[in-house]
Amino acid sequence: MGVLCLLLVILVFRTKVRLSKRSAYIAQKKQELAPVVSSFLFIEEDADRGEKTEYLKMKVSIREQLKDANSRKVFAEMLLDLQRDLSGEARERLYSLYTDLNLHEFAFEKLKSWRWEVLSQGIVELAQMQVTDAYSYIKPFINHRKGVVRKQAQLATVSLKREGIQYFLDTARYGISEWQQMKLMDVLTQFKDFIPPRFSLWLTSGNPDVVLFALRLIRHYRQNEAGAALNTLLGHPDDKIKIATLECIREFCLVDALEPLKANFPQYRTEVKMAVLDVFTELGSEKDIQFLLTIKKQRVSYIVKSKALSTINRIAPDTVLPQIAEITTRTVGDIGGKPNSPDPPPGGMIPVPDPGDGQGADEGDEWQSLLEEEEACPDISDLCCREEWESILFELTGAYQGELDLSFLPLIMEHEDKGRPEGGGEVKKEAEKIREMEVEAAVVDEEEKFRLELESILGRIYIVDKPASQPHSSVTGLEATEDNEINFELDSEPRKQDSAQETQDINEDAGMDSPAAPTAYRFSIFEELFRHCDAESKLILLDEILAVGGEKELLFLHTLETDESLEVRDKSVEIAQRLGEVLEKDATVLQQAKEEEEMPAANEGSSQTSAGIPPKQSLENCFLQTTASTAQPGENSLWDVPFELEETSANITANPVGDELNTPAYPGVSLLDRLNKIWGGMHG
Amino acid sequence: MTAEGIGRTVLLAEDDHLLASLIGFRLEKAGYQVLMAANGRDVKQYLSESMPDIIVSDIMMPYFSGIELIDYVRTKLLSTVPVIIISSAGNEENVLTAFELGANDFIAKPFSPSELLVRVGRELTKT
Repeated sequence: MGVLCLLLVILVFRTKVRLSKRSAYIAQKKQELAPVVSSFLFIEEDADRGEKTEYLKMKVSIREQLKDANSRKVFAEMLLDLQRDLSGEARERLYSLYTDLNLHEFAFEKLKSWRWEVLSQGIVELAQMQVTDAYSYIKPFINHRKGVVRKQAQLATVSLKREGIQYFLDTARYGISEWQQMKLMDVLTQFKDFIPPRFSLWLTSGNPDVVLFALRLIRHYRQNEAGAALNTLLGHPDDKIKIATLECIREFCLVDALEPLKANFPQYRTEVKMAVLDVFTELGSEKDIQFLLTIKKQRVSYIVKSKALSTINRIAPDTVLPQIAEITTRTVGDIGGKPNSPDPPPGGMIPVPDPGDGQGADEGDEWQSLLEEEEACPDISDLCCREEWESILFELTGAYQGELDLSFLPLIMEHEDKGRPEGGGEVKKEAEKIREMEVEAAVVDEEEKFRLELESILGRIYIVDKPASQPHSSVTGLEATEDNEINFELDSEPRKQDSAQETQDINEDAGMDSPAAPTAYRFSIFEELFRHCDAESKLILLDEILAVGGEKELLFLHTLETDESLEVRDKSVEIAQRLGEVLEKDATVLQQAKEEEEMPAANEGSSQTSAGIPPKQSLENCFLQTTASTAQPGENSLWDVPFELEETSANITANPVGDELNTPAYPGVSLLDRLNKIWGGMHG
Repeated sequence: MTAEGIGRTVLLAEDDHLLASLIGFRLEKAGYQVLMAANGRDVKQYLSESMPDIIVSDIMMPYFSGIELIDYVRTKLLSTVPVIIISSAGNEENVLTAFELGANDFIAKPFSPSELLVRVGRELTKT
């Protein structure tokens, strides 16, 4: 990397040294040759013999020096520089010196080079030295593929001969930039006694840049006889040509072109329309004002409309005056009106000044009517302001007076302002439509609906603890300390209560009747099942009620006496009877167990009661216990929720008898197992 | 060498060495003594030493333009020496400014050295 940098530095240094040497050599050479050139240029024919001898010696010396390419190059540059600064006789002598020394031959040699920079250098040299013999050699390069060569060749062709411009316009195939056009025109202006050709001949050229250049030359040389051709060009597809044509029309004051412009005005684009309006500004008359006023009604650009108005004012000053927009809610005082202005009319409207005072009566009326029509059809900006204002009013005033407020309805209207009702009539129609629509719905009493929902919810709940009316037994009295801290203790032992009292309290809290009423059956799980199964399933469930049912099921069975199915009715009666017997038996057993607990501790080791009957566990009454316990895990896993009740039968026996609400009937049996069995039985 | 300019000094201020050499050669051939200055500083130095009979100056020069030279000669040196301005084509505004400051004549490029010689002789004849 360092070596490369070093090499680069060395290369740059050497290049700089070389260039410095070369420029120093060139400066020295120029200094040596300058007196020679001066002598050659200002030698006089009537000079004495000594001067002529000196002249010949210098000429021989120069020829010797010009054999060297570098010297020849420097000498040629000197002559070219002087050729730019000199004119008249000195220039002619310079040209003679150039050709006498055969420097033009070396320039011709450059035209044969394949390198474009050498080629262009040769063209420039020959053109600058005005070597007219080079015209035929240079003109083929007018359409050279290289832009630099092409442009130099074009300039050389036009400058070397007067007919060069015609040849150039005939043969140019490439585009001609505006700068190139200006340079070519500058070359033409340097011709003395130049008679320009009729450039209208090239208005039909296939090259649009040639047409544009021809229009520029027509305008420059004031060739106004090309009026007919210019009118034809108004229909040219190129907008630039149209605009250039319009400029010519404007300069030449071709009034005949106004009517075609009026006819074709709507077809033009905005830029062309602006140029047309410029023409009307210069050439228009009062009879064109009608046409200009119609422009305002057309769907044109805002700038075109403004231009039309300004054109009207140019033709007839003060015809169109500035207008102030109508304001409906703001007063003049809010706007800051003039202090000397008269009192505004009611409503805060500012009158529009009457235009066209200087015009004839008939024309003034026509213009006034046209202006009024314009006010009735506001511009886009006015329409937007109006819509905005209407929306603000609508929001502030709310619904339309006397009409139904339907703003809450998601009406889909075809109106432009996105559904906002514009008038009261449309809103009314929509409201009537809505009222007349047929509605399919049931009238639901809110209270009845709530009651049904609550019953369905409560039917699924097992109330284990005390009802809300009773203070919770787990919370003892609260004592406030000096620090305002409340100390409390949790009592883990549930308080014993009568189940009937509990049921009554619960029902009272739920707003229901006494527990003896049939509504207590809603706490049974079978009620939900019976609601959704058929008669056969009900028969199966009745058997299960006998197996696992309690008092709740007993009460529920009473309600089945009104079932549709006769079999269900009969069986429910039978099951109710048998379940009652079972419950009585259980109640007796529990009472005996309670009595045995109250006996002295010496009898604790006894495993039998006083009656000789061993204490039964509630599970023993369940003949399904074995089947449930023998159920294989994994069977019907969808319904099998693996959980176990923590309370044992001993704890359960400590609870009061018949406390069915506190404990399930068969705590050791999974309820889901039971339901699973029922489900299996229902579906065979 | 003609007797037209014998005994007359011309201060030529032109930064183009070749053109200056050409003009100087022509003026010397007409008998004038030509003092050539390549920039405005040399012009000021010459003017501090002695005032020439006529000044021929280009408008665009390094360090000290022809406009400033006219202003210097007319306001600082309070001299009425004739000044001829050589201007390039399209420099009309500068020409007008030079006339306002007191230039006597101007000649635009490209020009004929013979024409310049005539103008110089005419201005010297006036004085």
